[in-house]
This record gives sequence, structure tokens and C-alpha cells, in this order.
Amino acid sequence: MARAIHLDAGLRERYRKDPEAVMKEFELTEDEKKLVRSKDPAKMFNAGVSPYAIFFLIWEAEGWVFLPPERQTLYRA
Amino acid sequence: MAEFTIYIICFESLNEGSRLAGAMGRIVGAYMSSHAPQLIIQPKVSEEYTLQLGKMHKTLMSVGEMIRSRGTDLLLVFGSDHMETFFLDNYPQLLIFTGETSTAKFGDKEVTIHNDVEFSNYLLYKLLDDGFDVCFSQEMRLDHPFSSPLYWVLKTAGDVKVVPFHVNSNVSPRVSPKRCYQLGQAVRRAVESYHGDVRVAVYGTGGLSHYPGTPFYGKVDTEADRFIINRITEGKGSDLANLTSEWLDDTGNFELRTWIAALGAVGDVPGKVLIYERAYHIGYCVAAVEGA
Repeated sequence: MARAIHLDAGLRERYRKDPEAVMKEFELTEDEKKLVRSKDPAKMFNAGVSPYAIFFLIWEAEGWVFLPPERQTLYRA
Repeated sequence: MAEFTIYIICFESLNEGSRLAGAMGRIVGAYMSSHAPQLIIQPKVSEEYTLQLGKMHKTLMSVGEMIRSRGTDLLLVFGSDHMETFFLDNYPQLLIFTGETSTAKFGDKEVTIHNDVEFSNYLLYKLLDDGFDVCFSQEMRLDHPFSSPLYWVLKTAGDVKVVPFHVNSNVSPRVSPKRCYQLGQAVRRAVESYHGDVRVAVYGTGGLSHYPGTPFYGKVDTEADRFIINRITEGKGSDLANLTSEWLDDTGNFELRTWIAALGAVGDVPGKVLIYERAYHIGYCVAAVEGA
């Protein structure tokens, strides 16, 4: 689902407007849906989601790539 | 009968003849740079970042000028993939694009590359003979690992053909650093035994230290980057072939694999680092090694 959202601008827009419908289309499990709904990249990563899927869903679809640096970086030394 | 024999000998020695006459391929240089999508998307996240991106763009365009001034015919680009072009249904370790053109779009920006189909096939066959089981694809939807730096480099590189060469650096299991270096050396052998006067610049994209999509996002291992830069400027790129996969992962430099391939092709010649910028998410870097 994440990769399709990266590749297809139309699907990306549909996902932004109605994530539940797109998740249903891609037959995500309830656990997977919970992770995606959380919009929490660290949580997704720790549950085993690919960093690239995370990038597509959070940085691209949710637009984190446009946030001020301190709001999109996760690492605190 | 004698005439027939002479004809066969002449035909078979054409290749050898043109080599004896001096026709051969040459690696004219190796260039390396980051390939972050932000280089082409250019998000306005802070004033500092906009300045850093500006410096990167300028440097990439100067690399294009360097490539042009070396009389480069062909840019062989080692790049990787983040499951954009390839996916779990068929994931290649090494792959050469043998189609004619490929276009990538990022918002209002477009990057089209024109491949050297004859050379890409020559390289493919030669590498297989040399023990590298490289795949090929005639259709390859390139993404930011190729398009992001090439958008800037191709503005100034002149009329160069681009041969995209995928080297898996991102989806485990990945090509070992040592094998990447050996691949670069094999590419050099293939270029140098080419039957024509082709001037090839190699280009490695990715890096330096960054941890996208992980809880370490925002960390940049500047000490590791300093070590890498030092090896390049000292002309000891071959040392990077001895790095372990674990070290590359730990330091956010898993994409160094493409740089290692480029360094394998150009050999241990002192290089220059044209820019290093510690940005909020990555150690941006551009380097050049112009061989003898």
C-alpha cells in the first residue's frame, strides 16, 4: 500500500482524504491499520514496518518532509 | 582460397586491430554525491536548509561541468532503490538498464535520461563473462536515487548518455562492500577492453550518513563521514571495500555501496571533496576523483 501511494499521485490524494477506504482496498489487517492510524514512525519501525514504507506514508503522504526540522527529526542525542 | 583465408583473418582482427591502433574505452573520472529526494523536491523547512540545498545544487552543477570538460561520452551511474523501482516480487542485487530512455517526474520537474543501449548491453555481457551475474531490464522507472542528483548534473554535463546501474544497498540482503568494489574493477576492465574510444565517467549516488524512516532520523554520524572523506582524499578508496555491512548500517552509510563501486572503477587516486554539509537529516556530500 505504501509503495502504491508513493507511485500513484491520485492514490496518494485519495489516501489523504480517506485513509480507511484505501487501507480496506489493500486489505490491511486490523493490527496494520492501527499502526498506520497512529502516524507514529518509531512505533511503526519497532513493529517491523520497512523504513521505506514509513517514508512513503509519513514523510510523503502525511507531508512530514515539509515540516520544520525539529518537528520531523526523531533522534535526540 | 588464399583470398578467403586472408579475409577471415582481417575480420577477426578488426577488434584487435582497432585496439592496437589505440581505440579503447577509458574511465575519465569518478563522481559521488548524495541523492536525497529533498534535492529535487526542495522543501522550505528552514532558512538554513534552503541555503544548504542551494550550495548542493551549485556543487552538483559544477560536477556536470567537470564531467563535460573531461570530454565524457557516457555517464555510468551506480544508484540504489528504496522499493520504488523494484519490489518484493522480484528484487535484483545488480541490474543494468538496457532500454532506450527513462523519465522520472517529481511534481513539476522532469528528468529524462538517454541510455547508450549498445554500450549497456556490451557491459552486461562482459560482466557476465567476468563472473558478475548482473540482471537487466529494458524498462526501468527510475526514482530519486538517479533522478535527484542527475536533475542538477545533467544541466551542465553536455550531451552525455546515461547508463543506470542498480546496486542493491537498501533491501536486505544487500551486495557486500567488497563485492561492490570488485564490480567497479570489473566495470573498468570492461570499459578498457571496449572496441571504441569511449570516455566513461562513473557516478555513485547515495549517502552520506542518514537514517530515513527509522527512530534515528536526524542523527548524522559526522565522524564516520569524516573517515570516508579522508579515505577518498588520500586516494585510499580501496580501504572502504573492507568496511562491514554492520559498520555501514550503524553509521547510516548503507548507501556507500554505490560510491565504493565508483571508487573500484577509478582506482586509488587522490580525490577531492567538493562539499560536506551537515544538514538536519543527512550528511550531504559531493566528491570527485579524476583518474590519471
